[in-house]
Amino acid sequence: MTGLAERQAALVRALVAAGQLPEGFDRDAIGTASKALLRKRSGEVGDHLPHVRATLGDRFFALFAAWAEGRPKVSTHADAEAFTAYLESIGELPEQSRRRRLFSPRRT
Amino acid sequence: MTALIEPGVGIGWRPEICGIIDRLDGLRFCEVIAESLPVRRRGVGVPDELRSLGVPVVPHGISLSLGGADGVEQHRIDHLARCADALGAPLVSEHVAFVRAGGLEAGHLLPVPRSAEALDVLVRNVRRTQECLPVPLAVENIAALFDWPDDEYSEGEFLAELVERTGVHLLLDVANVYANARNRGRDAGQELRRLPLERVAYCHVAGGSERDGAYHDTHTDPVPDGVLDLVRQWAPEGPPAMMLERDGNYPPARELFDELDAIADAAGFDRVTGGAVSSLS
Amino acid sequence: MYNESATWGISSETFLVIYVTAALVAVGLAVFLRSRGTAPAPTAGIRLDPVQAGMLTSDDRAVAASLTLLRGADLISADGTILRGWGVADNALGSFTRAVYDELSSGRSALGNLRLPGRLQAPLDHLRATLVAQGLLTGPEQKAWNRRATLPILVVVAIGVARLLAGFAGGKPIGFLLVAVVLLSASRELVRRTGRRTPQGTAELTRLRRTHSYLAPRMRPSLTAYGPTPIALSTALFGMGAVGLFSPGFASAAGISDSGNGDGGSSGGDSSCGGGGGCGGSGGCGG
Repeated sequence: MTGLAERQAALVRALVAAGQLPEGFDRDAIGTASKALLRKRSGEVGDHLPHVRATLGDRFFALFAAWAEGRPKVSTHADAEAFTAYLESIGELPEQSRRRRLFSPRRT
Repeated sequence: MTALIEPGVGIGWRPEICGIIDRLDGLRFCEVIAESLPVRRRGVGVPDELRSLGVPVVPHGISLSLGGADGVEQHRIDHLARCADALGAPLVSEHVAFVRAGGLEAGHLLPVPRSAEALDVLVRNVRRTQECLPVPLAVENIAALFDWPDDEYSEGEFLAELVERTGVHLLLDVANVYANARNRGRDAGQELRRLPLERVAYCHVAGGSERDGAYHDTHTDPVPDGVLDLVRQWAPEGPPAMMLERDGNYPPARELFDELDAIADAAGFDRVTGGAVSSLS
Repeated sequence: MYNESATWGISSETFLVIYVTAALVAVGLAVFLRSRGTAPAPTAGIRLDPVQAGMLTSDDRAVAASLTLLRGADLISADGTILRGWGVADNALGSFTRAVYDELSSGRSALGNLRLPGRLQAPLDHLRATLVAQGLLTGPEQKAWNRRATLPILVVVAIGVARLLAGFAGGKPIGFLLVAVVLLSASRELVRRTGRRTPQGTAELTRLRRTHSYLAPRMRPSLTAYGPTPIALSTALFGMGAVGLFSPGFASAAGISDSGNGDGGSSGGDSSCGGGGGCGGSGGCGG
């Protein structure tokens, strides 16, 4: 039982936290899956920050991917806050958009 | 045995298109994402726009992690149960997958190894969930972009064994069968026939697209012909209820109606778009 | 009982009692008269387009609905730049929206100052007149009627003021009477004030919001699924929340706040979805 738990943990680390790829998995397939997970995560954060996404346009995903490297998701909201802080710190985001940047798509 | 859901065409209910869904007079059933129903003091909130449809609604969970060796969390099972109560649902559905491990969220559904050990984990988690639910549970086969190195069973054998040991029902995602077969160079029709189809409560039909050299079951693209072919192959045997699963990038209402008609025609069901007017104001 | 020293020969207590009674009668009469001035019921089956529906709330809302139509039909960009010429198919968007488009394309107005007074006065007046004729908005006749209905109150106020002056000149206490006159004057304002909508107009707005609840911003209505006209109706009924879903920043560029009626935008907080999906289902990448 613990064997599977550890192996699942190792797989998730490899997919979202730049962990070492466990034995026996197809490197390319894992890479594709990892990229897809990242795209999905970036989409969720983008939905949370529509103004930021509109401002950055095509560069949103690239910037997000760079930031998310080795930073696994805790929650979309936490991602959104941390990513915004990062963007401000590197000067990608003018201060005036701070007020409108947090937009949660749902009340739930 | 009476079906949990009467065969016919349904759709995944989404607030973004709920006005369009409301126009489908012949709709047979709906499915709603359990995690999207807000928690209230007593139970969960059901949007009026969903309740007023007057059709059976199935709460579909996406974060229970039935395949997780770390176990399932009670509050998530409780939420599914409350959804079932609030909706008067005939059943609840989740996935044969895990979404978290070692304290990390994967952010999506990941496949479990088709091994005896994983089967034990699944059986334990499924039984625990079933005990707490007021209605039957169905589990969905997922699309996986990779396989575990130590798969012992085929997917059909694996699911059959799971059904045998727990009595769980199946939510058959036809698009996922197609995706997995396509990405592994196998015949989708054969793969479909190897699954325990007699245990299927209802089915998902969804679209996808090629990207990075693989077919992704995105739910944001039109349903490809290959998926509809699988439905057509099944039609002579009287397939179970089928629903369109669309999560975003919504097409104009007319195209959505066309997709629903295509599914109905492929399955040999009545069309549900009869009275629907595609121009809204 | 005739009192030598009291103002007008009536004691203040007696006068106050008479006065308050008269005031209540006057207010009752005025309210009754006001209610008699309601516009006749509109013809059944009125179908308002998004701009007209917006007009039920405010001039601003009508303009916002037009801007939503223009943006949704890709006639203008997020900052108000004209993207393409007005085509024959665009005539379906209506003459008011055409006027807004012309104002933007003339270069006279930028997106942010469209709503300044005077820019669109003539089209707004025309729009308003249409809705007044339909019995949904109050017009000048209604306003005049409501003013005239306050006559009973004015009469009693005048008497009260005369009594106050006389009492003050005579050094008598006037406290309670002053309060009564002030309250009566305030009630005059309530009777005189004419709302924007007639009762039928309010009923129609309520009905529209109820039957189109699927367009509320909290439902995140999809522009690609519904098309520009229903989304413009969403703006008309609920504010610019739905526009922000497909064109973030457009609302603020237009100088219109995102929310309206508390239904625009959404409260903060994490989506309760865990790892499985963006509340959208199980599709996508690894599973």
